[in-house]
Amino acid sequence: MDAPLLEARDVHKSYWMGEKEIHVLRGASFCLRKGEMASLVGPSGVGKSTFLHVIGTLDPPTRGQVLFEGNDASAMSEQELAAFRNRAVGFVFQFHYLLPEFTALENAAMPGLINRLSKQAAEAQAREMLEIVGLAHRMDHRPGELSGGEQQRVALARALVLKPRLLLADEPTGNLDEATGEGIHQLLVELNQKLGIGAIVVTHNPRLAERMPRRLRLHEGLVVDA
Amino acid sequence: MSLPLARRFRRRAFVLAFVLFASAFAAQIALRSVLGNQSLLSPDAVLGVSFGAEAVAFVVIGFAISFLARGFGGRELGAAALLLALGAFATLQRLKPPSFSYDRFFASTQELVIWAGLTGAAAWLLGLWGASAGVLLGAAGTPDLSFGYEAGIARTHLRLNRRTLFLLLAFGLIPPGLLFGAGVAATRYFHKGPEASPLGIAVAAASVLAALVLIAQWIRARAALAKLEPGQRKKRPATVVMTAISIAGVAVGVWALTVVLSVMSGFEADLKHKILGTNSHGLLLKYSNDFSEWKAVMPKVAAVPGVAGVSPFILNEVILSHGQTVTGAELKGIDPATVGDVSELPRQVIAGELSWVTDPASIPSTVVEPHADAASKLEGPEYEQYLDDTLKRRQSHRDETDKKLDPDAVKNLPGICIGKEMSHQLRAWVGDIINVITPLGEMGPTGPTPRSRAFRTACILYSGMYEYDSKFVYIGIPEAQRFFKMGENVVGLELKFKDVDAARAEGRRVVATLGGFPYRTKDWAELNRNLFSALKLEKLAMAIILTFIVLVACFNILSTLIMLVLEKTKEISILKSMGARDASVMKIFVIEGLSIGAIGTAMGLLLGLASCSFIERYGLQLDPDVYYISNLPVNADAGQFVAVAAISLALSYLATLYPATKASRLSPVDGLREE
Repeated sequence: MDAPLLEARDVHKSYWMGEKEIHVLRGASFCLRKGEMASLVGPSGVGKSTFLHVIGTLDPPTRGQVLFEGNDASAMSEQELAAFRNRAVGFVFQFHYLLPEFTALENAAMPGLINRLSKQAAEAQAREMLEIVGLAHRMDHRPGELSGGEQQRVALARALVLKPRLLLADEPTGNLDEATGEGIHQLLVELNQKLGIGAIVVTHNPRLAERMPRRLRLHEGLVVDA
Repeated sequence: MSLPLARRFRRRAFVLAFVLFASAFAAQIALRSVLGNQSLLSPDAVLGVSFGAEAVAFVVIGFAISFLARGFGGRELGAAALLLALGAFATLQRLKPPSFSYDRFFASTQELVIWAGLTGAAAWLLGLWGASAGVLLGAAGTPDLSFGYEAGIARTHLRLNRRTLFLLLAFGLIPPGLLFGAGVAATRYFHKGPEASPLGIAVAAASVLAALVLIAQWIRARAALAKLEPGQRKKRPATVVMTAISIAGVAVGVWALTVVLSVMSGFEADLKHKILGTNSHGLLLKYSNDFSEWKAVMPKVAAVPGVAGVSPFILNEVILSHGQTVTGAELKGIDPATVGDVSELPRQVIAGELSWVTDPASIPSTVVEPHADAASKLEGPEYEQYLDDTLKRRQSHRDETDKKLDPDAVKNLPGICIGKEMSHQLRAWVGDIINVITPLGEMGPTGPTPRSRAFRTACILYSGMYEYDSKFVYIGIPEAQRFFKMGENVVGLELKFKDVDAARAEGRRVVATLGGFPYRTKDWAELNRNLFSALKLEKLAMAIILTFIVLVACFNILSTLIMLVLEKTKEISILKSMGARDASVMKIFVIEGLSIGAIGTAMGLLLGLASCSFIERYGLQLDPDVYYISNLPVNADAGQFVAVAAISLALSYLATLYPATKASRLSPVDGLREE
């Protein structure tokens, strides 16, 4: 069998708050297969975001290993990590974090530009992905001129524009009303089926979590299947 | 996952850095000795060239090492620099370089320690500077020379859109345009200086037009703002205002630097012009006192390719008296026929004729009027006073001296030319008789008896240099030879070269043509060394002081960028989560700082250029009694402007390094966690 898409082995993460060490992750281990979609739930402050950052290589673990397709992320150089974040993973956050001075198209083209694609190539890919998320008519609008749901769709298009193998979404619907959130979730599931992207979606909404093929729960610094 | 906390010390980078540093140092010493012995550069230029080359080498080495060290390589470069300092100390101790102090010949140990320390420090700092450029281009991984999206993001941070560009252009062009226009208007109004050029008129017109457009735009912007809801104000982050202030700061610094340096150069050029008006570019002298073969030497010297003119001279100190007034003077014997080839002397005459020096019979017995162009050169109350004291006096008391003498004898007295200040001091006009006394007379029973001789004033000269106009008097060569009992000898030949600035090299060529010893030359810079070195020192001091203004302005850039980094922490995190490399984040902020620096520099240069043009056209008045220059001189030298721009841009680049490095080292989660 192939190596799993993502594997966390005994991941520990702790922060120092002044003199006190706070253990957020205490040996979390789990495995995600290619194209598998999972939800991650847990009460606020339990470390869901931290877990996502650690497995997304944004934050190094205090101890333990994160393996992506069998490769140890801690062995990567700064440049390899950057290339990995650029091509292999896409992030969506609770806030859209789009660059306010750029249009939807330019925002979605940014990962392509970071990958040193030509402007034309990057924008062509961005256009394609914006059409997939249903924003063909709003490409030249700036984030400030889009609704919350549209902004999150642009963020999703930006995360997926380079066809990563893993999508990490941190409460992508947390800031939206229920109907809009529903739409985004629907889109996530569709994209997972259409593009075969593995995904972990952090959510507070138990109803949305229920619908995922696999459900994970973060409990006392450990990841368990719910 | 991210870089391990303690980075590995890269031994290969260290060894290579040391080897390269050491070779750069050795090359500097070799270059200094080769240039010092085999080229015609001045000692200052040799120092400048060799140390400049060493500095450039250090920067390039740092750049190269950064790729090997995969980063700044601060420790590797530092260790190499330390070793270099020790090696430099050992080498210098063996070489025994001359001391910079006048107390001893060889440099003391203390001096060598300072030298070695400075070499090491320079190697480290300049190496780091070069390394920063390497890091910027992705030395930590594969080199990445692209600036594509980084420039786009930097542009949004600085709010460089069409509107702000328009504003910048307007602010950059209007004040210089108005200054330039004012200068042109002043020229027309006062009817002096060069005529207004069509380009100047076009620039002035364009600036006025631009001002009108800007005002219209501003009114429109106000109107648009007024349409907003009451209480709703346009959001403008503090960094935009700070950016504008930083640009203005750099512009003001660059402006001050260019204007002051141009004025200093103007003084220097003016002085050079005046010195070379009276003095030749160089002197051909002999080590002995018997330069009798000068008539044979002259055509040989004139045939040397770089030589434009040659004329013999004799120089001695004498005492002059006219009536009751006595003064000391430098008496120069000249050949009126050829002296015009080596100096401006014939063109400095304001009354009489230079040729009357050897042809005293032509000096008219009537009172000579000053030349027509003298009035325009010298107009002012001071000149009126001068004419009252000399010309009018001659007109009213013209017989005072002549009466006592036989008119034929007067006619046969040899001629003498004196400077304007001298003529004022002696109250002598053309035709007046002056007694010249030399202490080098015959031996009498009580020792040498002074010898005296009467001369008739043939012309009055005005060079514009007080020292020359009050000290130098001129007579013909044959008369001087007779007066000083020199036989056929002269003191030397005055030379004029086609290229003034190559005077030293050309002089050596002349000596070489004549077969070397006993001939030697001295060039004008050597003859006036004190004056020019004082001027150079003053200019250097000014440049250093004013560079501090630019430095302070660059601290503005630094703080603006730090504010920007703080403001954009979230954006940096997002870019990093999308895969932006550290070098890319660094590039963004370096581009921003350099843009601020470049815009400010361009504005400052334009303003400086316009100010120089204004000063030159309008002619700011100076007190001629103090400066002996009636207008503030200004000499806008392209090289100086380029140097100022380079200094300003280099400092702006330095200012960007700290914030840019800070930004590039932010962790991706720093901005995400803040919610």
